[in-house]
Amino acid sequence: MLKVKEGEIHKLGLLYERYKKRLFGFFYQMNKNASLSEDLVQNVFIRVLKYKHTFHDKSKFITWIFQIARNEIYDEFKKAKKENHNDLETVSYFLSSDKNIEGDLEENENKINLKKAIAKLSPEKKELIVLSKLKELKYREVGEIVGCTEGAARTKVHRALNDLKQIYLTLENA
Amino acid sequence: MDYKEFENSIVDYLSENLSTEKNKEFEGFLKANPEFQKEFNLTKSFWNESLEEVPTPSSKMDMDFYSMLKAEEEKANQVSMITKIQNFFSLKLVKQFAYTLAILTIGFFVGNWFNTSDNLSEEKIEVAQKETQDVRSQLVLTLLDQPSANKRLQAVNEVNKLNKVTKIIIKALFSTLNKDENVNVRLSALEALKKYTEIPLVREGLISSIANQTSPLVQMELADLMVVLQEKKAVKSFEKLIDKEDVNTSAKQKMKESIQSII
Repeated sequence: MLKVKEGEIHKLGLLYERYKKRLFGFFYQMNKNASLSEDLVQNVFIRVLKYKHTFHDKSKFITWIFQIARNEIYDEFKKAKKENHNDLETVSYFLSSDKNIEGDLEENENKINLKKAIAKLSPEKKELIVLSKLKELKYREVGEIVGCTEGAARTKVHRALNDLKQIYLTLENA
Repeated sequence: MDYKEFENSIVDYLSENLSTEKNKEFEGFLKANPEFQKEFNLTKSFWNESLEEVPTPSSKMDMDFYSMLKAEEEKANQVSMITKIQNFFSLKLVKQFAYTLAILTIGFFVGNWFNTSDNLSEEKIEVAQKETQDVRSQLVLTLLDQPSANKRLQAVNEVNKLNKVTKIIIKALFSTLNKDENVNVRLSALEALKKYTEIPLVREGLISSIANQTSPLVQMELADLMVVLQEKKAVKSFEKLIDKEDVNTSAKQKMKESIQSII
């Protein structure tokens, strides 16, 4: 990345190859929309070039790029909200009649419920689970990305998973 | 490790946030207490399956990225070209060179302008030069009339400084050559007239002046000059002089030789 910062833009290709899957995965988990996620990955790298001067050799690249990715997805949420005033209703409609969920009747009920539970989880919590599942990211880095301390990040991840469990259990009992 | 710590560590264990030491401790606790295995498995399943399988991104993403990268690279190259040019111009040496060049150019035009103004005053210079010549001619004529031989010599010397001789000057010089009482003055007048032998009037004057000469020095000088000029008309004048009795023998000898050379 430092080389990219110094002007060797073609080196960005290496970074792209290294991080494209993880970034795509992150976006996909957050919005379940493959083509939108692809666009967001593209946007992340445009931002990387635009803000390359803000990258310091002390910072870890993965942390930095996920901070960008996070901003990207929040901008996207805002945009979607502006464009769609019936956001909440649409979301709930999509959730209840999700084709994938309905089509997966053969899958066991647990899995369906789990999917529903995740879909109900707030983006902030979902994001924490997605990030902490990345092998490269420890609590410290997750904290850096979402803007809190290592300890707070740990608590948040725990809480997110507990919430997921709670939602799941409610769905199961319903 | 107790149960509480175990419970709190499950997520840390799954997210690989435990130190190697703690990791081992956790695994040891789980082995020693199989009753907690169920709880661990439940959380593990949550952890593992909490996220859906991610589809592989399409090749369009790669294509988009690389075309964006190419465009950015081209843009950066263009920008760096501009900065290169800017850097080139901001260099101290180049600046100095540019200033030098500018000053030279200005100097050239200013010089050119002064040159044209010189051309304008050229006529004036010509007039001034003509005036100087006139003054000098007047000076020559005045000095030739002076009683002092020295002044008259100076007058003949002044003639040498003139660019153009007028008829008046030539006449004055001949009158000096023929009538001046000082031999040195006559000789220098002859020297001065030598320069204008291409003028027919001067040649004729010189030939006619042979007969008037009494000084052997002047006679001999004239004889030499006639040889140089190969003036055949002078032969008669020389013969007349040779026939005269009061003429110096050396001069006679010289004149005879000259006549031989001319013929």
